[in-house]
Amino acid sequence: MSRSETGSQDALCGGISLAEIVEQHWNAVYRLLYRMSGSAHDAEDLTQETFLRAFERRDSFRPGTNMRAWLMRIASNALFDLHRRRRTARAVPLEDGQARAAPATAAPAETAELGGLLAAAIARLPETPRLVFLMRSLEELSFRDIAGAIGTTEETARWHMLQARRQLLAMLDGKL
Amino acid sequence: MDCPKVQGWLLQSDLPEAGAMPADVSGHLAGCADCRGLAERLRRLEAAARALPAPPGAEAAKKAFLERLAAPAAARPAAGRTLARRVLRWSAAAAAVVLLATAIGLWLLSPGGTQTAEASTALDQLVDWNIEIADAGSPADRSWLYSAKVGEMKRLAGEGRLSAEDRDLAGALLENGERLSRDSDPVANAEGFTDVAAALVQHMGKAAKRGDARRLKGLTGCYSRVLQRGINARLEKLEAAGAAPDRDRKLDRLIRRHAELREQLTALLKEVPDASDKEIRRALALPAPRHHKGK
Repeated sequence: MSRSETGSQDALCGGISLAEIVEQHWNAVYRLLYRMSGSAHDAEDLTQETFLRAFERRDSFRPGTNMRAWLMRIASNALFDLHRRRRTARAVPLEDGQARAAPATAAPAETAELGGLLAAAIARLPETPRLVFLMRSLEELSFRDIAGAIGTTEETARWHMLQARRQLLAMLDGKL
Repeated sequence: MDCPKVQGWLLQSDLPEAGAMPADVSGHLAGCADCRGLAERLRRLEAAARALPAPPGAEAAKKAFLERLAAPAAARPAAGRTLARRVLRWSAAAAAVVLLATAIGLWLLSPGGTQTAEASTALDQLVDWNIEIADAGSPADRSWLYSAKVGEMKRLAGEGRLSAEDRDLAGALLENGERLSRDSDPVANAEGFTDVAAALVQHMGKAAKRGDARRLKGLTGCYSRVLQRGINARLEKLEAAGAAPDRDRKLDRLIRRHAELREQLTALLKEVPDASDKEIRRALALPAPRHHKGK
């Protein structure tokens, strides 16, 4: 599908255009993918890929359900596909449990230290607990939606959250 | 409930806030300082996560994506835009796209390569840091962003795992970061990013000569971002602020430098077997009778 074809479509889901969906959800999808990939370059590519896939699969969105959760599921799949391709190509090893360090980002001075430590700690989490933590704590998705996004049960999603919080508290010992 | 059960509940709860707790959990917390401490640390953890700053580049990437959605595929810069912007935007974007495509083609054919994941990450982070400083709203923010990360960036640039070539590029990015921190003039900033772009093209040429497609691909990604997010973003800022006659000479110089870079890229692309001469000319908007083989 070319970009011009994408842009020519006004309606995506329930009368909402792709452009409106991009406006509403781009930053959240980008934020998740940036924290997962540790690279602004990868985050940009994957975010574009997410919205193009969303357009292609617009029929799979059920009106009345959480659109952000649906987009996060597509984003997660795009991320997993990238990791799979890189593992296959043996270009950039990114195994579950071994994350690349995410670059710290700008922050007000008073919160920069804790924010920087937390960003670094999140980057060291294994992939699935990190994804669950980010979807819950940053995007405030329900565990049910998170489970749907990563293809597991709600109980397992909560277990990943437990692992993530436990490890983050250990890594930030004395800082919280 | 005992402590292990309460702590397990807290660690996997929706939000560890007192109002959402079952009575037996809140009853336990009322009498247990250890579990209350855990609940409080979790609350702070959630607050700190929500306070994480927005990552760099999200808004610019969204704007670019929406523009591409709205524009037909063959869209060209509108008439009336400044000469500098028209020349730079078109040549930079087109060259980068062709390079990416050809480099990926080569990469698939050639499994060898020298650029490590560490090198790629280090250069990516240095480019991000440069762009962050350049995008900062005020001189104070620029200075703060530079000071806050210069130590980490110097450590990345000096890592033993980086090759001599990558350390050279990292040095160029460190130097540009320092220049960006003390000068917010868009033309000067575009010149600084052009120095980085020139260094990247030089190393891309070396990688192409060695047939090192993986490294060429990594450097091309950096090059593309330096041009689009570094140079073009500065020129857009300049355009938004209105034309300034005293900057004409600097802009002329910038255009000449980019013409030279385009020549180098054209020569480089001719060494890549996947791109035909016709394709290169079309992508770089070169006129048909012009030849570069004698260079």
